Amino acid sequence: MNHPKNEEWLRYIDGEVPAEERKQLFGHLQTCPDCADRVDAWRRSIGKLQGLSVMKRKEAAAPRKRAFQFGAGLKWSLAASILILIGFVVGRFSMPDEQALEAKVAARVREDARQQLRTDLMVALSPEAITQDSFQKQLRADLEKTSLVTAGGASWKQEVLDTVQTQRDQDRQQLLGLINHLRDLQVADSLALRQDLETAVLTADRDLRQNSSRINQLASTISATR
Amino acid sequence: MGKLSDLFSITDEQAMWRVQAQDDHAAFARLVQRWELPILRLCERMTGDQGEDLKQETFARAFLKRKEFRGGCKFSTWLWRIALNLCYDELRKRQRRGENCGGPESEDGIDLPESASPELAPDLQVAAREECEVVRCALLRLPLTLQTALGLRYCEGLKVREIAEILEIPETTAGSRIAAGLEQISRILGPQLDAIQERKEHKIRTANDV
Repeated sequence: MNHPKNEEWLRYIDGEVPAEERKQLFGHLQTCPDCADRVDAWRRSIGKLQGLSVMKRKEAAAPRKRAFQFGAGLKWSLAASILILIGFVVGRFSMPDEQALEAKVAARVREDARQQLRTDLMVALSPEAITQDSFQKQLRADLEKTSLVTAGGASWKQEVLDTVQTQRDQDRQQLLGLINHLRDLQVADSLALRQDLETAVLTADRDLRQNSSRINQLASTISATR
Repeated sequence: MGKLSDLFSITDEQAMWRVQAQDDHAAFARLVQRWELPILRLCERMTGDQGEDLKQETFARAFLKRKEFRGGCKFSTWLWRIALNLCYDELRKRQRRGENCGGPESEDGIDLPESASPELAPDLQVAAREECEVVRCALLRLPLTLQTALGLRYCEGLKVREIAEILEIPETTAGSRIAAGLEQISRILGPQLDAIQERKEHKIRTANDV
């Protein structure tokens, strides 16, 4: 007997064959117990497979108890990773303009560094710092020690000390001059800044007055036309 | 009413487009809501106890790969593929560990609970659960290609054309796989289902006698 192929039976079961073919296949089933058994078994399997999809969650959950405990960690870690992901996305979109931020930070750092440098310089150049310089004392002590060893070196020692003293005095004068100059510059800067500010304030004040007078004019014109 | 709400609700593809373009979490939540159960069923059927985890992983992966979704295919096709691939990975892992389907199979293929209640209704419930487990195990014993085609066709109710699209195979091949799968699973299931049926009838008879 010439049996139809499996694919034909499948289409027959799924109801996807034309009427004529369906008739033929049905006729075959009446005469062939093998094919009839096969189609019955297939239909039964299909019914059971479809039953799997309607299997209630509650029923399916019973043999999964152990798995739930086992999978709990994974579930939480997944939830945490999704939260982190959302946070990352939100953070990324709410982030301020990178270049602007960089420029702002750079300007602030530069300003801080300049201020620090100025403070350091002022401290280093202050008269107290110079008079308390230990270098001179050290030199004097060293020379006195040497004079004990070297006989008749008193005049030489005095000469050296005088020279050093003179040099130090000159240096101090120069440094004081430099400090005064810096202070003058600072004062001049402050004055200029103040002048600029006053000018700006005056200009703004004048503009404000002009604008208010214009508004008044406008208002009176409107009320006159009404 | 259902039809009316369908008319106003957005399609899967529209929702996915929103997820892609604006990272719209609400749209993605809607997709999860729509597809949660079918995906869970697939993962549970293929892997048993890992179903819930794999379902979550499927959606997590879908969100991570959202930019990769192209309009050429349906969202569902794309999602089925992700879920199937995850299930395949899990099964491969188990194969390496040398595990079987994990079903309650004993020597005669069925494992009855020892503390079976003499009452009829719970017994029938137990029998139904057993039957499901037997069917699931039989399905898992098939080659993966047949298992997938058969599951998508009869457990998920997809059309042969849709299965061909998901698996990226010709429609005729999909049909052949389903037919071959039916043939094989029927051979496995036949005797086991008969045994369950016999037991069920025996229990009913005993309950009636009592």
